Amino acid sequence: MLRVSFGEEELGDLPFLQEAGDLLVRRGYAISLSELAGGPGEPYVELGLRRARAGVIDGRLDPGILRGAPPEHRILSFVIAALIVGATGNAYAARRFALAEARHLEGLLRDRARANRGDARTLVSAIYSKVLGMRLEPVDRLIGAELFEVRLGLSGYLLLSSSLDPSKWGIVARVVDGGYVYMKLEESIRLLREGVAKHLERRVLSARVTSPPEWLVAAAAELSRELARARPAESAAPPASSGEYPPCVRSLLRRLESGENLPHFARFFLAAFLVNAGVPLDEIVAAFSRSPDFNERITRYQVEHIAGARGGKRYSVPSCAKLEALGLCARDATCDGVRSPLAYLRRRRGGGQPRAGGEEGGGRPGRRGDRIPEDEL
Amino acid sequence: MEGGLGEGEIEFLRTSYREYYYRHSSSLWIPPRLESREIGFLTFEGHFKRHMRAGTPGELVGAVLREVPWGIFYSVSYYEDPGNPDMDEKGWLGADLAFDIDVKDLHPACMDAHDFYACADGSVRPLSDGALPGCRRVDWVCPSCVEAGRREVLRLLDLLQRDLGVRPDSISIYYSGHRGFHVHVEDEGLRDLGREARAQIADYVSLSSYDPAFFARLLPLSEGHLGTLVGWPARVVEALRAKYGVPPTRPALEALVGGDLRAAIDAAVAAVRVRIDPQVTVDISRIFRMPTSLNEKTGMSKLPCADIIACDPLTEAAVLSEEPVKVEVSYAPKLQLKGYTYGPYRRSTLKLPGFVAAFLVSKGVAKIVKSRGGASGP
Ligand SMILES: [Zn+2]
Repeated sequence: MLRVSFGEEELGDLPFLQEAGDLLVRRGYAISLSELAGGPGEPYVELGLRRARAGVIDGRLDPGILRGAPPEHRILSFVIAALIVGATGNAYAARRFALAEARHLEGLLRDRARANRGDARTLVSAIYSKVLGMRLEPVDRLIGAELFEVRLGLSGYLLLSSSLDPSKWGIVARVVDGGYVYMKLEESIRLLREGVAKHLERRVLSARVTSPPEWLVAAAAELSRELARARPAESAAPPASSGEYPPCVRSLLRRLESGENLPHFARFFLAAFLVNAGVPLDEIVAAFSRSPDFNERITRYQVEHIAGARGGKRYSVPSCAKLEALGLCARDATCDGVRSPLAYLRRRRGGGQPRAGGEEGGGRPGRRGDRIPEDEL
Repeated sequence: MEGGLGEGEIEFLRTSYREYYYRHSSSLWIPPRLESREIGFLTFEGHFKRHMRAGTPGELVGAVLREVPWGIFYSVSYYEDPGNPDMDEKGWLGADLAFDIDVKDLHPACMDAHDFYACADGSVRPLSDGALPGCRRVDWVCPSCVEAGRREVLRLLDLLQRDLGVRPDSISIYYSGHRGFHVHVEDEGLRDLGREARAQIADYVSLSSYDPAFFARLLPLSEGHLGTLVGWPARVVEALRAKYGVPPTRPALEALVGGDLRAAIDAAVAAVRVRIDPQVTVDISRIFRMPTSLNEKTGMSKLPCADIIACDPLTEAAVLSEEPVKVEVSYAPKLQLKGYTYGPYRRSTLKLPGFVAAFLVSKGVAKIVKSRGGASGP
């Protein structure tokens, strides 16, 4: 295990580490919730409220919020924010908060790498080890024309990179040797974001307290309300239950509905399918709005690009074989030998057959009015 | 002949299979963590029975002896409830990493010589004549097929160990009993990988979406740095060196190929990629033929090859009885099993060892000639 001692300033930026909790104890802060009863008015509680809101509503943590606060307040604000988000019981909120915090950490680590590479590498390795239980080893290895700074075990790498763009993060586009994937420091920081986000998400969701103080319950309720207002209307999204869609598409829509961050290619495929299925762009954008890292402007741009609305060509829908190769095929008996998801749709729409009733399997949707149930929000 | 087997042929195969499974009831290969695996049987009636489970080896062997399946399969995945017919409710716990090398994908030259079309009117067409309605393709197996598969397995093993760091003792190699090899990896660290991660590994092995720009970026300017390359780029460099006879640094290569670096890299990549069936590696809900069980396409066993170099599949996997059986062969190319050569045959009626008869019958090119007593075997 890596032996690193963190400075107090540093721990203020790493509030999810055990060492950060230890610092609070040393400073005489009680971290049991009942003793946090100080409640609103305390600067760190105010900071915690802002932090929760920044992550869940804005989807990003403005470093300005924390600037100037002493390390123990930065740590406490994280603890409180996590408790508030956890108290909403909303998986989407938790994911969004976790992602914002992980992005924030990524920014800090990138700054650090610019200032002092050696230092940053040690710190990044320590976080890999303490938060993810993975060994990111410093190396300075020249391979061909490139110098690599760190390496990570293959299975850990695959785990962390699974939702990133395979054309850049796939192992075929990496130097792999002896069971290790070699990277530059910045790449390992980007990858760390994925792992930290997943870790924090789990932690936030499990951070329920038995009898939370009233102000916390109220803050969670207010946050839930605000999120419900801010989140684009789900009812505009295409229904995952639509039996017109092949099982692979239904499965991806379900994953989106549950607030999962889909891997890069899965998003591309889903968008291309829905575009080709004639679903209006607004509805497609709405489907992606449930993604925790949703950014409406970027999503709209991408969907329009896929649809060819920006002067380019319209992208075609990948074949079943391609989807199988990428691990996205969810073939079941209803596929009956189709070779492309669009062929499934065409067959289901039955080329001019009446839309209502009669089709075997009973999965016939034809019910565009049949909306997905709202989730907990 | 349509390839559908007659009653007499099925009876002969069933009897032979039963005898084999009785004789080997205590030495059948049992999947590790058996109780968490889905078991599947292909019956002689042609039905696939999936979603079975066996709590103990005795239960599995008992079911095999009772039912005498035509094919026996087990899941690469482990489940909480392997017998649940709903894939989503099985409770996935993890899976071995599996690779399938199909000799057909390697296109060895022998394939065009021995594969053929058997047509409904009894005629036979060579492969080069192309498919016709009413004709079915018959895949044959010869020592060259096995060698082509073995070479590919060796390339895969090298890559798994050197690049992916897989420990040799976690790798098992099997001859499929027909025209392929299966390579299984049981590694703690790889067990939890989902479909997407497995697709990454399949992609790495087969280099199907490699990026020439990535390779070009790595390619050093000086000869001294060529030796620092590792992974698939190192193998591509070796292929380029072999082809052009000079150390393929970037300037050297650019000078040689006159700017068309891409084509040169593509050609070298084609020479080093390992041709696996990616879907087999990715699809964790798949069931696999059980080692030591008989392959319905040939009557030969799926053979564990502890030593891939020394392994002699066309001898060791021919496990059915040697007792002679009288058969009528419509057409069969030369067949080499257990060190002997049989055929080629064309409309011949003759006595052949049981394992040869089973091969020809399974291929749909021979019928059992009933002896006067009515029994199909001794
Ligand atoms: Zn051959």
